[in-house]
Amino acid sequence: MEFKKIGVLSDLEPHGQFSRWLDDHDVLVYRLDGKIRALSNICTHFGGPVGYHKMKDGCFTCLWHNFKFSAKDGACLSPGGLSLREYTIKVEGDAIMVQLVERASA
Amino acid sequence: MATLHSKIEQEMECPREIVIWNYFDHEHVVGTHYKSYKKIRVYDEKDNWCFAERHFNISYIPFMVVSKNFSHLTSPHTMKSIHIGKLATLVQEYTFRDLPGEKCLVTLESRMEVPWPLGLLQPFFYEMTRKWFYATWDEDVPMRLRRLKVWKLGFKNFEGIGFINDKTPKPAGLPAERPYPIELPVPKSTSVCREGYERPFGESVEVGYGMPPLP
Repeated sequence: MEFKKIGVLSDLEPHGQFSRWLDDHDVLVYRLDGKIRALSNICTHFGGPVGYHKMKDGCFTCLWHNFKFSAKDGACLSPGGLSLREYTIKVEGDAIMVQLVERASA
Repeated sequence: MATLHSKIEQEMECPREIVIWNYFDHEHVVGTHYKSYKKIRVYDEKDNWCFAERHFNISYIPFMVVSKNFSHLTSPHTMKSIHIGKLATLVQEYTFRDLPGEKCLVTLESRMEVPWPLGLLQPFFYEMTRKWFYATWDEDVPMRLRRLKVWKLGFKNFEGIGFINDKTPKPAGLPAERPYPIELPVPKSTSVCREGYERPFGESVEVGYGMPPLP
């Protein structure tokens, strides 16, 4: 499946993270333990922006209702919510590439 | 007695139903408005009313305000909200008018009865309410627009968006228009209806709603 450009390495500065809409996906890209990762930036609770606040203590806190998600794997740390989808990422030169679609339609 | 009065209005770039969802989504005040609100507790609510307690800081007042608040959706287009504080009672009437192109116009009239000498505070009252409500409306604008956007992509509360979660292509048959329902009370996931819900922090590094699309 195809990878698409979501940003460049300098987009990660100064906060170590950024988010951007691409083809109806809102993707949160960030650096954790020296590795670039990506999660869905759409909170599974009501759709808020998970990466509005800078990551703290290894977790993201959604702006709207303070739902917490682990930066390690997107696991929801608040009651009642589902985990965030992880995206496959690769870096090509300066470009950060994301795989939005990984499976064919059911 | 004298009555302090203000009337303000703003055009919203989203349907009336989303504005009403926003008003009855009580947990969001300690999220989206975390700089102003410290705590919210919902004592009880039904499909068109809510009785809650709010702890917040308001412009020009140098101490935390605690108010009991009764909000009543009196019709699909009107809401009455009464805030009872230690020093005064504020009565607000909202009107939500549909506009073409998925927009609406919100008009807010606020009234506060005070002993007649305090009627001199009318200019201050107008400025205070104007500043407070335009600031909170501005904070809510991206929330409402985003809620509409994800809703149109098929978002379901407590689930997310199917094609994103499933890692599959966006379905071709996704309807261009997805009517937004008013479904009250808004589902809760916190202790807001028992002991209350507090903001987790007073300060944060704000990265923001996101970067602009790539060219």
